[in-house]
Amino acid sequence: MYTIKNTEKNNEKASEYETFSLLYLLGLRSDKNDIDIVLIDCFNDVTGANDQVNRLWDVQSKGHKSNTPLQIGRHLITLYANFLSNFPFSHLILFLETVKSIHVLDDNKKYFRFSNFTQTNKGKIFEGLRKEAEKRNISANAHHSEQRMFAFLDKVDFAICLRNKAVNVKSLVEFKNKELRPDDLFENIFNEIRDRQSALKNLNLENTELENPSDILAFKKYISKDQIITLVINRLVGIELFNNLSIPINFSPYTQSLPPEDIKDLIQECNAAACRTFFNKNNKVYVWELLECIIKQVMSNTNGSVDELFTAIPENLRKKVSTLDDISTKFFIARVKDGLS
Amino acid sequence: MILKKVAFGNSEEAFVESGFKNGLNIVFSNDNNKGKTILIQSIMFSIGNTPIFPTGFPAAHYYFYTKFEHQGRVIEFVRHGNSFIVKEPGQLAIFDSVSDFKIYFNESLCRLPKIKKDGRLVLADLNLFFQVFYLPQDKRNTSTIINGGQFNKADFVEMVKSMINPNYSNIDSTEIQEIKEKRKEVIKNISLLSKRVSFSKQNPLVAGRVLQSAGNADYERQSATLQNINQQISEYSVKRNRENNRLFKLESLLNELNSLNRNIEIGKVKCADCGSDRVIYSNRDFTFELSNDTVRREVFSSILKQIEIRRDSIMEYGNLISSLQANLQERLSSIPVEVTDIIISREAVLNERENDKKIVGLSDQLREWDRLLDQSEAIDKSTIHSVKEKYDKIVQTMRDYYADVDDVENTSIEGLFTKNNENFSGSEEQIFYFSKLVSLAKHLPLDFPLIVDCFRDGEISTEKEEKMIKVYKGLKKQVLLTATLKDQEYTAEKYPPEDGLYPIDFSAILSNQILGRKYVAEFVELLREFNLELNQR
Repeated sequence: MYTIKNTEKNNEKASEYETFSLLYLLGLRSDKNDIDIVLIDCFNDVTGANDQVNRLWDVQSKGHKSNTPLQIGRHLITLYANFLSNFPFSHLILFLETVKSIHVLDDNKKYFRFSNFTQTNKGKIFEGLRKEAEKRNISANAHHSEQRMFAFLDKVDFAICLRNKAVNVKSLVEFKNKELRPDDLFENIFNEIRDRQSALKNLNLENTELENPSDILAFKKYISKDQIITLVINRLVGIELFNNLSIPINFSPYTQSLPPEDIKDLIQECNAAACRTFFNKNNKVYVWELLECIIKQVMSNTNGSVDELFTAIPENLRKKVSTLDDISTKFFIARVKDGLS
Repeated sequence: MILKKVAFGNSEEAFVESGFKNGLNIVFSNDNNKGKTILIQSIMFSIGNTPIFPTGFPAAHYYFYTKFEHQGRVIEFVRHGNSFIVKEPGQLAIFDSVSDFKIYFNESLCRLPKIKKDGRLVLADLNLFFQVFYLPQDKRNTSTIINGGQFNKADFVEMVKSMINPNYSNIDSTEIQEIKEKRKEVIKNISLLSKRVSFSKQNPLVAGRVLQSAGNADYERQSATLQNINQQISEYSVKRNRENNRLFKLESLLNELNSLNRNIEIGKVKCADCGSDRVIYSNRDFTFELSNDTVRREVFSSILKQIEIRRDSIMEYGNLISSLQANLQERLSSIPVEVTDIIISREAVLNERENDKKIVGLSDQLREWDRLLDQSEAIDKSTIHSVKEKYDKIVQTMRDYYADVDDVENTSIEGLFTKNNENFSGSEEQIFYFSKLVSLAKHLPLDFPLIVDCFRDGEISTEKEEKMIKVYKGLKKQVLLTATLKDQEYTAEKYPPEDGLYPIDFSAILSNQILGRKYVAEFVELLREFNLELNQR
């Protein structure tokens, strides 16, 4: 049993921090591949989860310019509450804008544990958490104890925000030529993710009771990693349209037998088809479904030929995107395959 | 062919005569009805003639045998009814009809002359052919042929002419007729094709040059260069067209995308309370936009850049084409006007060239046929001329013999026959036939004995008869004559055996009993050689 508490409305800066948190989970953590979805404002600001929702990466983000150790202790309260619950919070993460160098032993570390704090500050953090627990009546929890608090503190990951939107977005996926793209492309993507997060945040689940962690999926308050990756790849392919008139190496089987002038026409047609698809506002849902499916196929079957990948895509998905004919779809597949390789 | 033996009869009665020599043979008897005519008829019947046996002779009951020597080989014939067996060393050939036998006769014994009958070229009948060297005793008529059937005396004359020169019969033959037909067809085709070759008609000079230009080295070289330039121009034009097409598509895509963008703006939702455009949907299908500003901006700029590139390359191709065209103009102006004509008109003319080639081919064919026809016409003329000369000579020789024997020239003789209403009789008839057969024998390459049944009929004088015999002997070929002698002639031994004259006396034969038991065994033996077994009683 879990009761949703402490969901919050916040300002743009806080929203940005929550997006940084999300990108930290999906792009910067070493175990990012285990995370399939990011729950928004359910258990905490953001909470990563695997598909089965039996592993949770709980993130508390605090975009304050500066934090005293006492404040840090107080910030940990939601994480501690979750720690005490019987839900599978495998990772408890406090995401901070900054930590003063005098508070830590090694100030080069962006990701560290409780042990990196100086002895004095450890006490202050403990004190801050203890006081907050009392204030929020968590001390009444049967599982609460000083020992549990210490055990909790040893488990917490402290992460310092990398405050560069572009770098964070770029970390999501390896894609050919991504470094050549303007930063505002990635900043735009960042903002899109942020807006999406904010939108999801507006669904209020306060006091909703959950029997099992996976019950949370029913509320659709999450963004999947596939959606994010697809978004990024879509933008990276999109920005190349008509800019990169080269033939993707994986597309060459379809051009080999054609005279050069026909190849030029074909490439232009494929680019135009992708443009129409990406610019069409009326068919977003189906286009995203198709793109997600394509990208999943390409990423999971790295040795598959374009033809094989194409046939693996359900026909009903393809037919719902009329702006992409077969050859243009294959062109898109080849482009994604080339970009990811 | 030299007659060696004659035999006829069946298993009950038979007659065999083998006394024939290569010279003048005279079969004679002191009375009629001894079988001379049956003998002669038997000979001719055995080699396919239509018989004129004396009434009362049941020819259908008998087998007729003759033995000839022909170009060193022995050929024997047996005829029974209309069935023939021909025996040559090592082979027997059997024919069930006269016409089958005729084919054999034509192919293996003697080429039968061809004559035109009802517009068709046909082989002369044996019956007609034999009359060139054979005269029966009955049904004689100097004004026509004997036992003519489908043939008449004109056919006989044609046959004689055909024997003088076999080409005579080919004149205006089916083959020539076919050529003439084809020639008409070709002329029709040529005129049809010519109508199609309109350019050539309207521009005969240019077309002529173009058509003559094939194989002209100078033209070929010039043409190759110009064609090459034209080729490049056309290639560049194609490329330019395609770039134009791409440009058009890019521009319309840009419009399309712009309008999509505008649609978005039109559809933009604003909060009615605060005017904010950041309206949040709680729709579960809420998703990311398919493109963002950066992407759109970049795509637009990329498309615009592509449009620029297209425009540039269209211009570039335009420049290339202009410079090539200038080059072409320059070359054209330096080329003789004839060649320019050729190059400019080449396409037009070449499209018609196939037709022209056909016309040339047909014209060649036509010329060849015209030549053939001219040739055959020339040959025809000369053939007709030479044949006529020879024929006239035959008639003249005939007149000469007649005059020689009769001491008087007979002006009635105009040809091989007398006029329809002038049927010679008596000694005149005898001399006429004599003159005719001797003349034919002298002038035609006839490999058959000269056979005259009853050669001195009609009270011909001894003097005239002697003249005739002298001539017959002088022919230096086998001659077979028959004669019925008067008692005093017979007693006086009219025809004593001498060099070149071989008398065969039939007087001992009882009247009307030429056939008898005497020869049956020999006859049966003869026929056994043909695998014919006669049942002897």
